[in-house]
Amino acid sequence: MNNKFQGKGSGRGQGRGFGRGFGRQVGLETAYCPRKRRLCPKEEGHLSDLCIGQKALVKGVHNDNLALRRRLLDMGITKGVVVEVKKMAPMGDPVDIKLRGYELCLRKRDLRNIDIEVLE
Amino acid sequence: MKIALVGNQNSGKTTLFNLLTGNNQKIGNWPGVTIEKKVGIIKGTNYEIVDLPGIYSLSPYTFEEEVSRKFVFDEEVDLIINIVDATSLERSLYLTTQLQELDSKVIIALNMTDIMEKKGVSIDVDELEKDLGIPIVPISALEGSGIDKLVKKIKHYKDIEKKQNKIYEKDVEEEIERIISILNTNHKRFVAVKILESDQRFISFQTEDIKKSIECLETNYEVDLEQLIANQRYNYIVSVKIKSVREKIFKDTLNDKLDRVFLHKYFAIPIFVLIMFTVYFLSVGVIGGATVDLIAGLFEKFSIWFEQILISLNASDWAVSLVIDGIVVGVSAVLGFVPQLVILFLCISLLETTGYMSRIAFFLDRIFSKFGLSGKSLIPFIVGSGCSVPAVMTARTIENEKEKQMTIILTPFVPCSAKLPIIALFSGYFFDQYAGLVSASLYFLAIVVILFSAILMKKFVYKQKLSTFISELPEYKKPKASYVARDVWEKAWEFIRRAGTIILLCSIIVWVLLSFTWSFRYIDGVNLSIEDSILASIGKILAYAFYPLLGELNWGATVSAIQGLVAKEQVISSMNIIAGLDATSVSASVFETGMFSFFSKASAYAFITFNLFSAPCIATIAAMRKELGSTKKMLYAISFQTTMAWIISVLVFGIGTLLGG
Repeated sequence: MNNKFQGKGSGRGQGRGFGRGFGRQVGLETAYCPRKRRLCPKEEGHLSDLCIGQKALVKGVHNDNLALRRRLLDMGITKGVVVEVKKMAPMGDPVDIKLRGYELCLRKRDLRNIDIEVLE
Repeated sequence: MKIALVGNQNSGKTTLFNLLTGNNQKIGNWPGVTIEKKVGIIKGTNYEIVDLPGIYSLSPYTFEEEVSRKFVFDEEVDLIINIVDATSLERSLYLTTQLQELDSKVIIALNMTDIMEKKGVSIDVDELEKDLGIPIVPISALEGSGIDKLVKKIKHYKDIEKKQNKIYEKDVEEEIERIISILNTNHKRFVAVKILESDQRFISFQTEDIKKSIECLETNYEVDLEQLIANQRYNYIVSVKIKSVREKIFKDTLNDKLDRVFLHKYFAIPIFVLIMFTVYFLSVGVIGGATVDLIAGLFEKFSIWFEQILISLNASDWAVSLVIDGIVVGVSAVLGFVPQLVILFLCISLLETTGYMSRIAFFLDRIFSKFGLSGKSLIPFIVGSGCSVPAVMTARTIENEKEKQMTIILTPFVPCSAKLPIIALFSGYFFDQYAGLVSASLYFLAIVVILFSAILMKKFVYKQKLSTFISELPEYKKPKASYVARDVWEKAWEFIRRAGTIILLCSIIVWVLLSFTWSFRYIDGVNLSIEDSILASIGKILAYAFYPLLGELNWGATVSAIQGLVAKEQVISSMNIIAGLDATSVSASVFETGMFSFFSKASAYAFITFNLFSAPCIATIAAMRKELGSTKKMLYAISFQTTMAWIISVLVFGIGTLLGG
């Protein structure tokens, strides 16, 4: 029941995620990939693994710091929401993600506690 | 009737508050809690409206949220005006659904409807109103539209029917119903949800029975209830939003294009340095310098004219001296810097309103986190170049307690506007055409000192591992002239007001201490000289502390520097008064008088350095005391600052002298 909005997002991402996303990355921003290998659609990982322009579905938020976790939930990072990595600071941290129609900046370390499934 | 204005940060809350109240606002304190709240009266009514801090949720975790929640829960609020940002509807409605769980009546002021249209979003207001069960008034706080309708709605608040929707899944709702039936408090639905969330404030309500149900729900959903409730709340909002909102999706907005420049991998920091340099170059350099001379000339003329009048009125010698050498000299020394400050305040206000300030915090966070600070520390630092008092208060938005305290202690190191006159006076005289460069070098020195102190504190006092950075990246906005003008005027007026109050008072005291001996004989400049004054004798003892950084035992500079505790601009007021009363003075510049002619380039730079970094003015000390939460921490902070200042300025003097200054 919580995954009511999952279908919409994953459908859109299939098939053309990698190619299109990569095309948009031409230029200096290609360097903004935190990992050597770009995660493919349907792959699972953490929000900190995404490159600029990638979209993902949030699977869960876990953090020992309850105040921080609640804050992330309050800001809309809940199960089933689609997030997109929009920008990164010059040194790759913090990361600016787009969700629910607005942009939120978080440190990479905190993004590691957010489980995702890649959409595109 | 009491109204609370609640909304997210950056939702235009303060703009709406100002529109509703006009100029009828006053600033007061929360009962028991130290935070400034704004209370006003809505124009044309007798309704009291309270501007609460910007929040995203009524959770108990952050200070602002705790305060706001206490207010809406404990105070008898007749009506809540919830300002909702139409451009980020989902996140805004998250707070709305929590407010709806209270017993109070709610009206939504749907703000930013003008920007929303540009962004290709259209909202079916009637549909949304029906689904939420809350009256909605579309407004644009920036353009001032829709306010009349909002006021009308407020006046008819009695007609509003309170509706509480069932927004959670069936099993959760059943549990809420069950808890409500056994509760005996106000705001039953709100409390019931908080009990399920295991909120600390309501944890005592959790009976064994409820605990069992919570456990049962958590096993069913494989997630704890706090998270489950957040999930379901957002799910409900999305289901409502789908029915009433149409969005066109723009792939590459102007906002993204601007960010590609301002947040560029390699250019972001050079652009930032360039912008900050321009800001200080404008205020301290060209325009500033020209206006200071102009105003000083005007005061000179005024002073001569006024002296003549006083003499023609047969005023006694000491009365003329008090007014001319004490009050006029002291006050004008400070007022001359108003044009510079206006430019500085204008620039800071523009950085804030355009949204660039949030970008700075974003791209410098990485560097700052290395020093144990947050990117958000930069906002107090930049605001601090205007005034440390509001700057120390902005530090509140930093999530981590240790980062917050470090920021509070370091903020006064930033050369504030009141220190600007000291920099301008000294660098203008001693470094002539390089004045701009010298001023800039002092700002960079300040950055070095801040980072160095941060390392020291991180190493020895505030040891920590974990910290966070959560910040919204708002869209770039065109600044609104009237808002900026108001902001600049308020800050400049505060400075002028101080010149007329505290600086005036201190000028009189300095004059008295300079014009009388311990046996209270008036120093007429014939039989007795200024060297015999009370202030001179005090200064001569304390001068030993300043010897290592001035290279001279000079009581005039010593007592002036100490007066920086009252207000930093008082340093130059005092120097002017001393120079003016010094019998040997004939020249226009204080540095050509007997008292201050000893200053070399090295000791001038060292003297500025000491004044920049030593304990801040009393107003800042009070703000620090309040924000740090204890007198002990405050005392620790100011002694740390003063020690740092002394060591650095002694080093500056030593190195400067070696270099042949």
